[in-house]
Amino acid sequence: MKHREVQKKEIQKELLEQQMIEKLFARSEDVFTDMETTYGKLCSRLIGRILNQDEEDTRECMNDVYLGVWNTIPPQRPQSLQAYICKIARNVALKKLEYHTSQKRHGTTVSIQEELDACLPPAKNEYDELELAEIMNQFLETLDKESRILFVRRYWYADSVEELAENFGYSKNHISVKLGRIRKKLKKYLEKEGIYV
Amino acid sequence: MDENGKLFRAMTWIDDKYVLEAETEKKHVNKKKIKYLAMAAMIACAILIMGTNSDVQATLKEVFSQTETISFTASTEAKLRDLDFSRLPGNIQMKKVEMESEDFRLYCLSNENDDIIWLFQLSNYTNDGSDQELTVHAEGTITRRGSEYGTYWEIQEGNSFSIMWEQNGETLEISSATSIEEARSIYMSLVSAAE
Repeated sequence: MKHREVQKKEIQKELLEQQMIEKLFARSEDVFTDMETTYGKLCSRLIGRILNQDEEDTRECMNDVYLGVWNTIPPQRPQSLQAYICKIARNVALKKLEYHTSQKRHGTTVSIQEELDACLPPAKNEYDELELAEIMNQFLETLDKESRILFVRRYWYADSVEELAENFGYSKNHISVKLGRIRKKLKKYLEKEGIYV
Repeated sequence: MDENGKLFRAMTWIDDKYVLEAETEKKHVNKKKIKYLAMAAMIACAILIMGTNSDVQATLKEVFSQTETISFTASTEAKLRDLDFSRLPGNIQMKKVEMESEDFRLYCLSNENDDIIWLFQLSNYTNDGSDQELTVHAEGTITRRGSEYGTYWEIQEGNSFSIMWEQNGETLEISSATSIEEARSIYMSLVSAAE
């Protein structure tokens, strides 16, 4: 019964996404309200985490996100609008963060970045972001489901260790240790892939 | 763009399926146990015993046989089952049960000489009911300590990937890669070492 409800919700979500994409193709400005209602919270939470809950910056970024979707669909027709809009949100937030980092602000996300940087051996500049993302896809495939979700929650959605501990039902220490192990695996994986001097 | 945070930025472009999975399952993780209940999850349990006196081994074997049944019985419970200690001989007493988590429980028993036996009950469940392999999820180091209960090994979460202990000069270990068969064989070696 529950499974059916989940399936029904998924179908409804898919239909809603299709409608939004059609509206974007038809240049119907109604879609902004739809996007705000459906993905507003998700995207602003993601941006907020990356920008350490700066409300003003988050609002600014959200406008850029909607504009980014409007300007790229069409010609793009994403398979998943949710993933597409989240990726734009993440990218916009990271650009904003980059600007702030140069002014020494927003320490938390910078430290999350540094955790991952420690996995990247020297000579990393030979690889562009898309190549690295492809290698990350392969690495994620090697992880068990729980580790993969944990890793993506931390390093994609920028969840705090406290949030992860609450959502996964582990202690903060346990989460930190688990993340440390995954990073160690990643470092080994990157080295195995020849990403070093 | 500078090199700092390059990997973090590159993460933006990972496959959509991972982005969606982490968002969808994040909500599920909150209700993980409920979800597993609904899916009639398979439970696998193992009891690993540190016995200090051979006269309790028969009793502990009896307890272990209960867990063997549990291991391959489909269950609607996604947490450790309560074991039945009602058939313990008169000289064996349950002193303490420590609930470390829903996946991990410690039992402290003693015999008439006040010898202490610690039982580690560990569980794992799969969501499709097809995987009968046990992956032991307990993690930590065990520190040897003395207390009013005797000598035991304290488990501290998160410091190590496996559980290790020594008995009769043998070092035994279970880790997250330990299968049910290996866990059984570790158990049997503990029992035979004590006999």
